[in-house]
Amino acid sequence: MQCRGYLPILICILPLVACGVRGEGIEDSVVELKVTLQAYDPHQPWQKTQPETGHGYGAVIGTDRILTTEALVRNHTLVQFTKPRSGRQVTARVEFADPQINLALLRVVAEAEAVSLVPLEIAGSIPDDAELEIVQVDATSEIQRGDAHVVKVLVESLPNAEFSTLSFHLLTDLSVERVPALALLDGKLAGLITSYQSSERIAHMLPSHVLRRFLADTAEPPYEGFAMAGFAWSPLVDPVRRRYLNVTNSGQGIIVNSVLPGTGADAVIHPNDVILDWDGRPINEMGYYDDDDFGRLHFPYLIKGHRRPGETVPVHLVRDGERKTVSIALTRYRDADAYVPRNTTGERPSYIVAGGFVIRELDAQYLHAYGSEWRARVDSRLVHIYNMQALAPPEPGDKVVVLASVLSDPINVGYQHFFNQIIETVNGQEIRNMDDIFKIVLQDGELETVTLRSNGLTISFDPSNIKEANARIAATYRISEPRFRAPPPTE
Amino acid sequence: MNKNKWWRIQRKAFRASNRQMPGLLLTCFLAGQMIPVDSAARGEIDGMRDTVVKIYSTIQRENHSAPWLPYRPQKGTGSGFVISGKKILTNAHVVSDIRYLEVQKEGVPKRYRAYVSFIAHDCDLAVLQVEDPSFYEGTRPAEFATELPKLNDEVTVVGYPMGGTRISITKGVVSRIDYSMYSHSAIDEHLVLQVDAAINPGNSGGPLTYKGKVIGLAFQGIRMAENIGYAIPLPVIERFMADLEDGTYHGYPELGAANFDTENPAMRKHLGIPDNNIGTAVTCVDPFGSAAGHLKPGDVLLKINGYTIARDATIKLNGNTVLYGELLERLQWDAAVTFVLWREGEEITVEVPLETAPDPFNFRYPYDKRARYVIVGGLVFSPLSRGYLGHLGRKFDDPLSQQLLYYSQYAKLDALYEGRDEFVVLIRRLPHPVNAYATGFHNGILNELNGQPIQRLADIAAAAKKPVDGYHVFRFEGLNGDLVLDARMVEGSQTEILGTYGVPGPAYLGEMP
Repeated sequence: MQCRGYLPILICILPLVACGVRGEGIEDSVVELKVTLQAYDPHQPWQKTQPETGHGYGAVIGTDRILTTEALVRNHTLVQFTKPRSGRQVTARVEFADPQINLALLRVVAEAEAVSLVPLEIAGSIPDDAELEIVQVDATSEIQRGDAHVVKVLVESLPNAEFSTLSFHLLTDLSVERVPALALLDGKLAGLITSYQSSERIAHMLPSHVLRRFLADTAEPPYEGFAMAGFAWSPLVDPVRRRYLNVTNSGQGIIVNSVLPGTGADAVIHPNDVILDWDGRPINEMGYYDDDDFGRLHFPYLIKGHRRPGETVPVHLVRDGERKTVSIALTRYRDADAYVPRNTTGERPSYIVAGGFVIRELDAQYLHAYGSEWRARVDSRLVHIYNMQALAPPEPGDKVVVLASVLSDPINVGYQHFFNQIIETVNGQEIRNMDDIFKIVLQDGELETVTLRSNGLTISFDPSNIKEANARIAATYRISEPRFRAPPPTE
Repeated sequence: MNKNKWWRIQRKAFRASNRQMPGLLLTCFLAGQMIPVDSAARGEIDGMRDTVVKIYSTIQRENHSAPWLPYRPQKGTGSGFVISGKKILTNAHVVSDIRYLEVQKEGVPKRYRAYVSFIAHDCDLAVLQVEDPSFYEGTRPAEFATELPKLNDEVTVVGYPMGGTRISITKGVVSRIDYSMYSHSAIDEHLVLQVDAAINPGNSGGPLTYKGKVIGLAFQGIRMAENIGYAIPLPVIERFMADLEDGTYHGYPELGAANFDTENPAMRKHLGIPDNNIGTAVTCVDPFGSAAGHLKPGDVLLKINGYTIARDATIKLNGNTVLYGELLERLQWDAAVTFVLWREGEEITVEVPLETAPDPFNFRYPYDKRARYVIVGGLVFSPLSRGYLGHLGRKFDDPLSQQLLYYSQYAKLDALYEGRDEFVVLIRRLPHPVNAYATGFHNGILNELNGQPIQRLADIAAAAKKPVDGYHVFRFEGLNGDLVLDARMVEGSQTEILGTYGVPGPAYLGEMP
């Protein structure tokens, strides 16, 4: 509990420092971001959706560098910022973005001296009862400040981030209008507010610990990102189940539910293993450990906050009633390895439009495009696969290839009622992903036949007509690119 | 429509009743409007006055989320009519889950106790009987027409709809003769007559007449639509009556072959059949249907009993174009049909004996059966039924209840039924210290208990007798983590749990086949 030792001192000096900072300087360190964005339409991946505009704030962290959230700049076509009290729009480009942690680094495109920016320092340790200052810009382009104090430090999944991370809950006296907004401690950047619940006046802040970690990582390429172990777990409080699993350590140990293939945990730990110690720290039966800085925290922070991908951690566990020690190599989550990827960033998927069949791999973006009620609207088989198997392909590289829809044309009469069917074979060959389809179609020249799961018929196309039909369909439905093969994932 | 005529688990049918078409409703107990008796129809109504009866029913539905607690009894009224042989014909939905039944003749104050002799949930028909012979005095059995009316023929509906107590008559024309879902079971499709005469709650079971002769039986309507009422037509009634002749209701035989319109010339070429619009392709075969073992996916059905089958699964029957399924509609449980079909480049003849084997995976609405359950350590297990899915309503918002939806819709298509006689589901936890930590398994499908595979509900009772090293270990579909209970605590708490929650017994296993 190092931080607790500092508390009395911090509280004493805080008001003085805060007063000193309030009046000055900050207008060169906070910018208002305006992002024009346009995503691919998951159901018509050859075209984009309508352009939209997003607003938020950025923190100046170098003379030409701005830190903001990845969610704000996702699918951007143009990123511009204005300084407080200024109408001048300056262009920035996204230099680095990590959707897993929801942070992005922008670089100012204009010449640095043309825009006077003063970097904010990143705050060090933030006490778990700190008084912070929230900064945003009002409608008159004037800086607006408010007070906030830390009410809770925990590990949780923040909105728009894929994985859990360290998060501070702040009680604010200012309604946060746009995210991210900046939170300062003694004039230093304490964190980015990534979401705000107006009814409870609670803001969720990604703290300086995570920002510093991200910035240090981007400064030294290659970017390593945040680590994961690759398993899902539950608390293990039930005394009967503890006895059944022969766990004798009172109050210690969580249970592994499932292990993701291809991760460091794959084959190293098993479902129903009971993890007693992680990386030298005892884990209690609820999944908490005692953090040096923050006290009681959920143990994933031991992975995300204290370790990096590529590192190996020792783990004590109970398996089949026996104690064991294993070491797990930490990795970074690779969305491309999932059976149903999240594709949080809305990357354009690989697809083929042939014979009017729109063929692509299933991803979460595609499902979410059905709206908030998508679970009720989408075929129960696809929903089930997403719920139960999204991260665990039967074999590495497997994807769920779907016939998303059929664009009506004479070539596909009799087939036009199909949608959201799982494709099993193409031109007589079993397929596991879009890559297989591209290989087959490139080799054979055209799509000839398709079979669908649980349908014993072979869907055939007239080989003498399909080329002509493809051209006609592309013209009729204005498809500029009837085939698109996404480049392999870089990370 | 019916391009993909599916067997009874047809997803379209399932969806329709579950969410998209709440409009189709049973007219038995719901709201409607009053239609005065038309004076021009005076003659018609006088003819039916001694035939039509009012039915007073007290029904009690099963509660599929708490199987030992039946719902409160409901009282309702419907219509019926006397037929020859001292019987009354009405709808199954008027008298299903019946606890007490009475019938009343027009203008006679006395109500007579009645009993259900036969009930057919697959076509929403039932035959009632009154023990007191004096009931039939003065009644006149209905006369049935010999053939169906044509579109625009004027028809009359007689019965006891809401809006008053005495007999009522409404008039209209035959708007459509179609093949449509019977909402009572929510999965069966048969011939229907659509009329624009008002059919309202209470009309159910009453006759639809043409020139004084019965041509159908009013049974369902569409909410939010005007002047659309449905009647069960003569052929369905005739098949039902013929089915009963041996003293048992066998039900409709199911062919169980899904058809695919062979419209696409490339598909026809691939199948090796000429481009002549003849022949419908089989996409899959219901393992519980008659076609199993006789027809195969990829077969092209060319003829049924000598009738040529068009590519869209229709045949010409008496000058009308109807789905070939309608030919099967008229057949009995012990009949057979002969297909001429194209298989692997050859034209062959295949006889398919029709069967009415029980099919636990068709998810018909369950009626007249007590809900089954087993309780172990306060965990209530019950077989997945349409009743339980109905209880979940639209709340399929967690992975395990969505798994139930998937398993019910794709049980056969994705062969999920294999190795099981039914899906056994953890439907409820009766909280007690013994099961305080048994959370996160609600709506899970039980695969194993104490190492024993659970194929049917009754297997739980047997497996629960053999705990493993003093524990009961439950394993669920799609979950790695086990649910573990202390066997001694389970034994010690059973009586207390049943007593606390007012459960009459630890299990009701019913009559399993």
